[in-house]
Order: sequence, then C-alpha cells, then structure tokens
Amino acid sequence: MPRVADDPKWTDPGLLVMGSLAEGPKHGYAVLQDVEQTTGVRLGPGTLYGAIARLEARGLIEALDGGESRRRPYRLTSRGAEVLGQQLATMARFAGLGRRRLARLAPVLRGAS
Amino acid sequence: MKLTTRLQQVLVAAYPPSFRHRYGEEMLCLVADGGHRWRDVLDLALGVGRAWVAPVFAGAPLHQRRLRLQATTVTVLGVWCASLLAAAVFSKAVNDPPLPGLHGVASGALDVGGVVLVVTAAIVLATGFCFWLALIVPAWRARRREVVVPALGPALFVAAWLGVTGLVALFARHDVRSANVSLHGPRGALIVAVLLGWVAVTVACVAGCAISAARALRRAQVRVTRLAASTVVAGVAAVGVGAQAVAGVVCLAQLGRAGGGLQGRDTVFGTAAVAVLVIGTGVAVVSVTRGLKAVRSGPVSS
Repeated sequence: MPRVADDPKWTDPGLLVMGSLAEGPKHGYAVLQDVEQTTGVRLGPGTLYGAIARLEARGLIEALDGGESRRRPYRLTSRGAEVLGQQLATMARFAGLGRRRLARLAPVLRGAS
Repeated sequence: MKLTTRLQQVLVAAYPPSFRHRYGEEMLCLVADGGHRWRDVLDLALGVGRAWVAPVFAGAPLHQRRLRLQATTVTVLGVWCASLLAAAVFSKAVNDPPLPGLHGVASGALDVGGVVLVVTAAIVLATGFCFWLALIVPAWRARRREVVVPALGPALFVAAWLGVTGLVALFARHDVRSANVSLHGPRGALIVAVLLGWVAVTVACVAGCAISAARALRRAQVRVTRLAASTVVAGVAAVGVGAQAVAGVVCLAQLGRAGGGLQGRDTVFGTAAVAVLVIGTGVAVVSVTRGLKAVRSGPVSS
C-alpha cells in the first residue's frame, strides 16, 4: 500500500503526467501536448522533466527503451497506476461531496438574495 | 537559431550532471520541438534551481543512493574549501591590522574565537584530506585515470600558483610589512590579476577534488562509503562550530565598536566571510542529512 505522503498532490504536474500516461506510453513532448489539450495546462520543459524525474525516482513511472530515438517513452508502473487510481478516487469523492454541498447551499443563497 | 532556444540549451547544460545525463538529450529534443517562448526559458531556469537545491535521482535504488552520496560528498568538499577561504578572509579583516581599541569581553572573545577558528580549520582540513585520500589512493592503485587526473589538477594549479606568486613578489618588489599597497597603475593591475587568479585556482582546486572524489565513489567499497558518511558528519560539525564561533566573534567585536570594531572595507569582507561560513554550513548540513538518509536506507555498494 503506497504511503499518502508519497502521493502526488492535486496540483502537482506529476498528477497531470501520470494522467496522461494512463492512456499509454508517451515521450516527453507527447505528454506535454496531451496535458495541454486535455486540461489546458501548458507545462514548461523544466516542470515537465522535474515531474518525470520525481515520478521515476518514486517508481510510479518507468522509462522504456526508445531504440534509436533520442526521445525515451515512459509508462505507468503498476504502483503508479494504483496511486493514480487512489488519487482520482479521492478527487471524485471530493468533487461529489462539493457538488452535494453546493446543491444544499444554493436555495439558502437564493433566499438570502 | 532563436535566442530563446539557445538560452534553453545553455540552461539544460546547467542542470546537475546526474540529471543531465539521464534527461538532457530528451530535454534538448523538447526544446528543439517547439519551446521558443520566454516563459519556457524562465521555467527551465527555475527547474535548474530546483534540481540543484533538491536533486532527484532516478534509476535503481542502489544507483539512487550512490548518486545521493556522491552529491553529498561533492557538496561537503565544496563547503570545506569555501569555508577555509572565508576563514582566511575573516582573519585578514579582523587581524590585519588588529582591531584598534578592543578591550574586555570583546577582545577576549576575539582571541578565543580566533583560536577556535584555527583549530576548526585544521580539523576540517585534516578530515577532508583524509577522506579524500581514502578515496583517491585505491583509485590510484587501480590506475583509474578518470579519478586520478582531476585529483592531480589541483596539485599542479597550486604549484603554478606558488611559482607565479613568487615571480610577482619579485617583480612588484612589494614590502609585505607596508600597509599602504596601491592598487592603481600596472603594478596594481598585476596584484589584482594575481588575486583573481588565486580565486580561480581555488575554484579549480575545489572542482578537481570534488570531481575526483565523486568519480572514485562510483566504485568505492562499503567501508569507504561508511567512512564517507562519518567524515562528512565530522567535517560539517567542525564547520558549524567554526561558523558559529566566527559569527559570535563578529557580533561581540561589533558591540565593542565604541572602542574600535570592524570598519570600512573590513566590515564588508568580514561580514561576507561570516555569511559564507553560515550559509555553507547550512547547505552542508542539509546535504549530509540527505546523504545519511540514503546510507541508512540501504547499501550504497554492490
């Protein structure tokens, strides 16, 4: 069971990278483009490879053999998939809770206005 | 080639060696693929800072621990050398000429602090040198040129420095007992050039020692890596004691300002030296903490 302290934070670029790699192995530039298209967040090269290095050091992603190419693809490890799944489940629970609370608050706000 | 691309290539080259070795090629590809914005340049600059301050090591756990220990060793050696240089600068600021009019507690603290500083510097130098020898000698016996060559560099530089200094002393005909040394004119330019050369030699020596030690650690035996852990702790403790002693002395000396204290240029040099000692000690303590954590988490030699 991964420790919570090791988990990437919501706003951590690492979570965005892991989310992108959940689709399948990608090299850095492909991750960058995918994150920008799906979330609108443009990761800089320093942020992207800082996140890749931290994830790789924690064993959440791993590099694949890129063959002749200078671009090395990365993929999620099984531990990385587990951590990502837990994070997304937490986010989903929080999002659901937030929506329910907002729904209860909306009539109160309408009455106040 | 665009300026932003060129700058990013320079910044990629500025990453720590282990990071550059692992991700440098890919990052250059990424830059070539379309990172032409100034925002990317800033992002890379921040990334370089983060990579140096909080380095991340990829690869197998054994490899990660070994890289961590290498980084700690290089950092501590650098701090040792910088601290010794700072101690010399501080000593020059407070003792040449001696602070006028100091008396009582401030004067006593200055004397005690000076002795503590000298003893600390000697301990630091001795532990650092022993550690360095423990790494270099086996490499020398094994004829590992990649370790021995950078280690020889500092020795050659020091020899060249002593030779040049002697020639300058002859040429300048400088009376070392004279307190009035003019830095104007060709003679002054020569003295300044020699001083800058001294700094360059120091940097080169630090780099040579650090590179050779880091390379030696790649294939060091377990006992050597344990030695590394214990000596860096001893060294840092010594640097810490020295830095605190110096800082205390400066404070007390400044308290005695009514009767003397540091003045003018000496204040700048003395304060800068103390800052180097204190900051260097902090950097070394953080690095050693990380290194010891790596050593405790598992073996660093196969």
